[in-house]
Amino acid sequence: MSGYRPLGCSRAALDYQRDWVQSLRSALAAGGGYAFVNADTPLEIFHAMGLPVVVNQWWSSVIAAKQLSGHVIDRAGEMGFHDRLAKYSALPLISWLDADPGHQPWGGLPDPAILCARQSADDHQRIFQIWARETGAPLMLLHAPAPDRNKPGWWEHAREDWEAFHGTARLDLMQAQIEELIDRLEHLTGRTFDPIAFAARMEKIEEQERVFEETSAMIAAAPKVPIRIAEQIPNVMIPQWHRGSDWALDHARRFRDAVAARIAEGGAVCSQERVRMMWIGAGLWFDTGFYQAFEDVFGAVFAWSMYLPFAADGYIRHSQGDPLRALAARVVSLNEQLHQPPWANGWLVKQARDYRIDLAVMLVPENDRPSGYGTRFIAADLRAAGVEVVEITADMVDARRWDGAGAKAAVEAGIARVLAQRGDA
Amino acid sequence: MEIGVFGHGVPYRTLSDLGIAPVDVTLNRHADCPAVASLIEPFMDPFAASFLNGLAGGALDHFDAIVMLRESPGALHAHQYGVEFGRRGMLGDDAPQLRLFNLIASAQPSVQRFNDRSCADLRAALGGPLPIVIRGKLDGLVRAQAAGEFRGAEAFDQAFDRDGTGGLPPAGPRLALLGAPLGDSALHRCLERFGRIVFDQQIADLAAATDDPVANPFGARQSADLYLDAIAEEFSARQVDQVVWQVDPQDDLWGWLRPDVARLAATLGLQFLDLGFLPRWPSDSDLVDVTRNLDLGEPG
Repeated sequence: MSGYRPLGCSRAALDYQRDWVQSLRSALAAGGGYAFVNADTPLEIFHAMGLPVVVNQWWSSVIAAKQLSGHVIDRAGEMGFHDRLAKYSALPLISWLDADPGHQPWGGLPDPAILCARQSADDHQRIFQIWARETGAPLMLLHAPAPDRNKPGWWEHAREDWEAFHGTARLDLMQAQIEELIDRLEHLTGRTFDPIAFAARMEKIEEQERVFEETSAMIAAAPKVPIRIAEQIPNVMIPQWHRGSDWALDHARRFRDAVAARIAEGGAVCSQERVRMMWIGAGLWFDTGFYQAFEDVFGAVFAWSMYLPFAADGYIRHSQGDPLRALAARVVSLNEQLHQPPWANGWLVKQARDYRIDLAVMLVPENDRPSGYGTRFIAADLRAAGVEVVEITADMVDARRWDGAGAKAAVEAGIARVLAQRGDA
Repeated sequence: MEIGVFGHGVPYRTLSDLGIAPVDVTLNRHADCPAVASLIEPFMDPFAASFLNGLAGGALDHFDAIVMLRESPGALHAHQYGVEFGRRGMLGDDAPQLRLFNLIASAQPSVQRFNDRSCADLRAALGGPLPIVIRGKLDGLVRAQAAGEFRGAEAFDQAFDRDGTGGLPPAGPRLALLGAPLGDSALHRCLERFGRIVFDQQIADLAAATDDPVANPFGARQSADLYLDAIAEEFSARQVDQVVWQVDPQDDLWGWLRPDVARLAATLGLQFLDLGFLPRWPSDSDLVDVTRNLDLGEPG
């Protein structure tokens, strides 16, 4: 029934990533180095220093997408890691420890030249300390002191007033650690950090995120959802991994223009759209088809996932003549804004209103506590705002216990409640 | 001003230098408070969950303020949830002020500057005249336990100001108790039917944090990779025969160390017993399997 046509630019994003992966593999096979880092670290610095980056959570999603996570998690148990430890940030480590090329994407990664993680979760340093010990790679561990108060409305204050919002002490530490990272990478690569080129890259990132903001606003305001979230995500995240590059900015513009054209021609995911949904949490990397399961029968479409709107709110930090400080302001609470109260609940309610959301489907990963904390506040505030909420207890990469039928039934029940409240059953 | 502290590895000397002599509320067990229980996820750190229920239920109203140790797992979330409860009007008028204290375990100069500012802020907010430091008490306790002069349970109760039951140290293999912090000495008493606890990681964490929190090798969020070398040293110094490992059902941290600890024990010729998931305040029925495993000499 669905006559959905993917955007032409979506193929371009996937092709770019495929080509980048192939070039990275060639470079690694020739003995080139790379950095293995967590997503909430300053990738901008690695890019500025010309060191390729493999992001832990991206690699984890690749393992899951290739249906390898079950094997890897089983091996973790055999190694002595209990089953309630977080998976999303640890799959790549376990996969590496397993050292089985037959069960790793590309046959596995070589040892990284450097590791980088931020202590935004209690387990990150333990995971990366194991990496460092096993590979001999140096570990750049970034600290994550927290503010005494998470002041509400971060998306309004953090773009311009980041000094006051985050506090000088925390920004001083974050900036000092970024400068230490630069120093380490200069020694590692033999290259010199170019502050002028870096400033230009940061401006390009600002422009990229402003373009994504335009796109988000268009989708939110469109009469019907013009593009599936499973297609939104690569069009956003691939440029985000390469942010600051010419390709990334060009692609953000291509994506915006393609979405604008789709809206102008009246294109929609679901011509009989009745219910607009938001997916809260990381992607369901082993079953992205889940998002489409409600379109044909119910006219229920996922309009929102965090990746597109967060590109603007999470990343735009006006440099005010100090791009390194602005980068510190971007990184200092990057992940925390999405998961801690009242930041997460406040932002998600605003997003739900902007996107005219009827039903929120929230992934609750019980064994990934930093991603699961705050979900009760989020659910309570969304309900108070008139949004129906379905909570699905599942892990973003652990397919073993994914109850697809149960999750589908729960969402369908939520849709039914929305329609009943509307008198539109 | 009556000040409490929440978090494992309380840096008593650091706080004392700021004029703060807090009462440790971390291990206090509180019943669910219906007003907030539905907002606390079931996988919340058990000490954080208990704290939040106590906070909302008024059990902590006699405190003016509670210092929340950011670098203790669970403490940040206990702090943020507590502040959020307050923001939503869910706390009583007498609820204590919650004050987050960042003290990062790293010797880097930039971190030391940050820590100094953090201490200055805390002193300005809550500091007072310098009180007595408890450092001497912990040093003596740790030495006495290693020498077999204290039961492990008694040492725990003294270290964390619990009501103890005393008793002579048992005979039997010399045990090291590692893993996640516990809420009381029930497991200690159970283990001491089979041996004597000569090393308790939780007490060692407290002693090291009191002495030098930045260098504390047992600190949960210690940024340097010190833990394995530190426990190897303790195993040797205390002539440990058997390593006992346990974590809480919501553990997302200590379990990462388990394989290396087991390997270390094997390398040193020590028996390794993994008790698996245990509630933080274990009941007699929770400890039945522990007893059975110890009776059978089951390894981990």
